[in-house]
Amino acid sequence: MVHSTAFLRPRLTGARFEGHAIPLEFLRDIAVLKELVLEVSKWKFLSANPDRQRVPRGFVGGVDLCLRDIDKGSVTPVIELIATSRTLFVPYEHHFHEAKEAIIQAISAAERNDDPARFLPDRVLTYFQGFGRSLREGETIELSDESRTLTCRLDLKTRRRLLLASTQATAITEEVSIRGFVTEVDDEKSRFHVRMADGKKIPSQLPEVYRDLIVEALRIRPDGMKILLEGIGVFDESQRLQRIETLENVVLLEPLDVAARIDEIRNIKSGWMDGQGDSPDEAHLDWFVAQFETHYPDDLPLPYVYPTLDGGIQLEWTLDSLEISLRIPKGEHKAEWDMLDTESTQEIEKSLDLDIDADWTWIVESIREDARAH
Amino acid sequence: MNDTTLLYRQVHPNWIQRGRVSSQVFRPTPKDEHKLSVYNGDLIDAQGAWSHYTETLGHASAGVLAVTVQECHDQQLNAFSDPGPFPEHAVIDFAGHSENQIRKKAKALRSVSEKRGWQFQSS
Repeated sequence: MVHSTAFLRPRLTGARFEGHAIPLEFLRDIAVLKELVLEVSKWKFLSANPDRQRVPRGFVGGVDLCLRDIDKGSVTPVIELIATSRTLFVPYEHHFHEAKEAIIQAISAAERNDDPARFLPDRVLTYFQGFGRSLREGETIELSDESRTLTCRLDLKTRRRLLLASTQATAITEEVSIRGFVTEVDDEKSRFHVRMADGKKIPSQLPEVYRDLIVEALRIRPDGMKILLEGIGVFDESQRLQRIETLENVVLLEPLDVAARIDEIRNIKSGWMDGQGDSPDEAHLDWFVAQFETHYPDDLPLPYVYPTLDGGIQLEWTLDSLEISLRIPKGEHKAEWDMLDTESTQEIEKSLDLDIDADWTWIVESIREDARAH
Repeated sequence: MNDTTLLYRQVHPNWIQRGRVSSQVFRPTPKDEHKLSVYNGDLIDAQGAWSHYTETLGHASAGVLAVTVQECHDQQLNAFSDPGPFPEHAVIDFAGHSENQIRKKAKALRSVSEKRGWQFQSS
């Protein structure tokens, strides 16, 4: 008779989970959670039974973690511990619950900048290469112990601390999305290099399915076509990207791709204009790219983007005789729209708030109308 | 200088994207006190202006665009020789105009200079 018991209810928070759905790629992380729990349970058993060399045959055989449900209200997958034989499993069940507690304590330690290795063995910490890898900035997996007295949050930062606490983790893998030019393709080794906006060359594996696309991107140099690479990146201890380990998506970018241009602007240093000129703010640029990609449709002409002396950015469109600019000062979410018809001298000025959807709609409709009329 | 005199303006590399320059190129910076520095085309050619700007003055420039004195007048802007810093130095004077007006005049100058095309581009 199948024996099942409620086990974990990890609460997922962040932009991607606000629609009360779990992206399919996140199921990989949940699958690794099972391996992590089983491994820690075995360790708990062996720690409690020092005379044993290995766990009993029935310990993990027939034991599984299953996704039973997804709670409404927030995205909370309901995970149950299931055993095919209650008789064989019950004597060991408490080790699984202890394993869960140890995992929660280790994450909590990482959160406090304490040593997670006090709660989990060195080799087990490497399981966090898989568990939490799909997390993005601003997202967390929240876990609570059974008494709900301890709640921990796994995010990008705590995951890095967990991995760095292990002597066996020589690098950290994370989801990555980079833009750049293909500089060389090595068919024999099935890899290629991409030069990013900061000049750094990143090697990547080259799956056959993307080979033609990558070679095409290389062929149209030196005029160049930037590409977007998405996949799993390997980072060193200083969080510097070393290589793309698994390439999952490749996109040839538009010549005026705004995010790629913003990557170039990111590297501008203070004093860039012959001693004048502030450097841009990374977080401000990230915010702008997210807003632009959310609100600006693909079918409209893309703007040119330039740094401004105050560390902000200025978008510019030339639509026949129309010269349009949208100036966004450093750190601000407000913007100044300025349109001049160089033939009729007609002018339109408007202050906009780029956190407000209606203001983006106004920008989009203005560009659409101007592009159609000219 | 007369109405047809070309006024050469240096373009910082950060203000070019795929060959198109920003209208900021023709807007005086706060340091300029409303006077936009240009080279007097009656006294120096575009390549000479670029060489002077990058080699003698040690500034960054990706190339040279130009507007005429008349095109400045069309925007109600005076342009005159200002040989104080060096003999070929001239200015386009934006004094007396509001920030919004300055932005629009800069756009108009960018537009006419773009139609004229690059006078010199570094390789």
